[in-house]
Amino acid sequence: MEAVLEVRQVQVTFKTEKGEIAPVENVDFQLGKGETIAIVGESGSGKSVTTLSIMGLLGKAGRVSRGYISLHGRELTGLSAKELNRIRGNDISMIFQEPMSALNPVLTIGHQLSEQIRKHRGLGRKEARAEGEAMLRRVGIARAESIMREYPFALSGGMLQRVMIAMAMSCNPKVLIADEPTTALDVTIQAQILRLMKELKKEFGTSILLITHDMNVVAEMADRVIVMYGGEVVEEADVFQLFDHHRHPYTKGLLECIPQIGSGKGERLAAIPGSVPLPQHMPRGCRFQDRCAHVMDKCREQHPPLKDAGKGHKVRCWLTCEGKEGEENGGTP
Amino acid sequence: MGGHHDSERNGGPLLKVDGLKKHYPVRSGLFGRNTGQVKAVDGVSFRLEQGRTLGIIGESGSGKSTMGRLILQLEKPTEGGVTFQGRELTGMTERQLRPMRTDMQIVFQDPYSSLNPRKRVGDQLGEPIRVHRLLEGAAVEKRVQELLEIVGLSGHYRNRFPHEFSGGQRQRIGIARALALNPKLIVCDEPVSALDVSIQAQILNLLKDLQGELGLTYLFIAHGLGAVDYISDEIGVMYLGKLVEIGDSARLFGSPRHPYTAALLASNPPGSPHDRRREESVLQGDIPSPLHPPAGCRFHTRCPYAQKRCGTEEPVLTGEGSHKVACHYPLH
Repeated sequence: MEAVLEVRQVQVTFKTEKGEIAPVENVDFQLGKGETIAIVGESGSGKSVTTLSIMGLLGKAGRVSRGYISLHGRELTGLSAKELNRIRGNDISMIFQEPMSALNPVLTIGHQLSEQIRKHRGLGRKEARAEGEAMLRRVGIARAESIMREYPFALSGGMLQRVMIAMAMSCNPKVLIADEPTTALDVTIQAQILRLMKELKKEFGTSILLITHDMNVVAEMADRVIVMYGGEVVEEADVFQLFDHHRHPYTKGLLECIPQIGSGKGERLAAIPGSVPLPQHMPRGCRFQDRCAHVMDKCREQHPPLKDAGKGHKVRCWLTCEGKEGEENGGTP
Repeated sequence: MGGHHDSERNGGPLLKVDGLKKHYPVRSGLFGRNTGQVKAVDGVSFRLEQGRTLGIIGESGSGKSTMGRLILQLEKPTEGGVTFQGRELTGMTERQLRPMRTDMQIVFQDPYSSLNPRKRVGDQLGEPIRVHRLLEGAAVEKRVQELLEIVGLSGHYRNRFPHEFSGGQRQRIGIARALALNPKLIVCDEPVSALDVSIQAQILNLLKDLQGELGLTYLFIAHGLGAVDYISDEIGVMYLGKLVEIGDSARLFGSPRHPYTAALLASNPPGSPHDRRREESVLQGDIPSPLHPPAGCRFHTRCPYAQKRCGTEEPVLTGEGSHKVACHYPLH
C-alpha cells in the first residue's frame, strides 16, 4: 500500500521545570492511502502527543527530538510555521473530542467555515460560502442554509461534530486525524458520526488516524490498530488479527475490561490494576511490568524491543513474542 | 453506624417513584414572561427493591439526571411523589429531610469538580460524619481511614489534597464520601463516563463489591450500555422525560420491545470487528427539544415503525409482570 504518512522512530520531548521528559518514544508506523489506523491506549499513553507532533502543534516547550514524520515523502519535522500552516488544513486536518472548544463562539458557523475555505483554496467570498453550504449538506445537515447563520452554542454536540467534519473535509485532506471524535457523544449520535466518517473515507479516499480508548469503536472502524502504552507502541496488527490473536498482555487487558452487553454478568470485570506511570517515573525494563499478571525477572531488567511476529503483527513483550527484531518470523511462540 | 441493618420497613420497596414530574418555566423577552415549559421529567413511575440496582439509560436531554436529583430531593418536583423507606419525601421541610439525607447519597460523573480542591481528603470525608453527629473525636479519624480502605485506597492518603490523585482514585474518594454516612441508596450519575476504560472496570467492580458487602441499593444513570448492563438487575429506558421501557436487564437488552431501546442497542459499537454493522440501522436525527416535544408518542418522529396513531395518541407504560413498555406497536 502506498504510504501517505510516515512516522519513524519518533521521540517527543518537553521541557519542564524539573528537566526534560519524553512522553512519546519509539513510535513508528505508516498510514496507507485510504487506510484507517486506530491508535488506542489510556490517558498518558502518548497517543494525543503523537498526533500533535504530526500536526506540528507541540507548542514552544515540546519538540520531536528524534526520528521524523513525513507526508508523501516530504519531511514535516523542521518545517517553518508558515509552511506547516499550508499543510495543516490542506493536506492534514484534525477533529477533536470537544468541537465546542475548537470553534470560535462569537462567529457564525458560516463565517468560520467559509473563511477556512477561502484561505486554503483561494476562493472568493461567495463561492466559499456556497462551497461551505454544500459541504454541510454533504455531512448530513439538512438545514445547511440556516445552520450557516447560527452560532456554535445553538447547536447540539452531534451537529457541531458534523460541522467540524465539514470544515476538516472542505479542503479534501489526504489525512484526517480524529482525536476521540465521538467520546463526548451519545451512542446514537456516535453511530451517525462513525458512519459519516466511513462514507467520506470511501468517497474521498482519505486516510484516517483515529485516536480512541474505546475498543468497540476500534472494532467498528479500524483496518489496523496500534496499541500504545507509556509513550511507546506495544502492539500493532491488522484489526482482525488484533482482536482474535493479540499477544501483548496490555492489549488483552484493554479488550477484556470492557463490559459487553449480555456477557458474563455475575463475573468480575478483568480490570487492569493500577495506572499508567508518569514519563518521569518510567520503570527500567518493560513499562507495563507493574500492571502485568505475567511479569518475569527479565521484564524488570531489560526493555523489550518491538518484534515482528509475521504478517505485520508487531509486539513488544518478552513473554509472548520471541520473533527477531525487525525481521519476519512466521513461527508461533 | 450499622444503618443498613435496621428493619424499620417490612417488605415494600426501598424506593417508590410515582408520576414524578419536573417542568421548568421558560422565560424570554424584555420582561421575562413565561413563554413555555421544559418538561424535563414528565410522569415517571417505578419501584426499586433494597439491595438491587436499577440502571437508567437514554440520550442527553432524556431527563435521567434530573430524575436522580428529584429523587434525592435536591430539586423539588413539580408533581408526583417519592417514597423512601415507606416515607413520602415530597412535601417534607428541609429540617424533616435532614435525617433522611444520610440514607440517600450521590456519586457524580466528575470527581474533579465535586471535591473541594483546598481541603484535605480526610477532612472532606470526615465533615459529613461530624455534621450529622454520627461519630466524634478520634472515632471520626478512624472511620475516615476505614472509608479510604473500603474503596481500595491507603489510609495514609487522608492528608493529601484532591489534585494529588488520578481520576480513578478521585472517583474512589467520591464513592468513599457517599459511603461516609452508611447510606441505603446511592444515585450514581454517570460515575464512570469520564474515566479510562481500564479504570472504569476497576470502579464498576468496586461498586459491585460494595453492594454485596453493604447491601446497597443503586440507581445507576449512564449512557454506556455495556456498563449499565453489567451492573444492573433492572434497566429503565428514558426518552424526552418519559420512561419508555423498563424490565429485567437480561430480557430488556436480550429482546427489547420498544423501538427506541432496539435503536440504542443497534447504535452500540460491536465488541469485535467480525460483528460490524452491515445494514445501516443507525437512528436518524437528534433527540427533539424538550421545549416542544412531539405530540403522541414522543419517539414517533425518529421511529422506523411509526403509524398514524403514534402521532396523536400517547402510549402508556404497560405490560405483564415487571417488563413494561410504552408503545402502540411493540416489537414483540
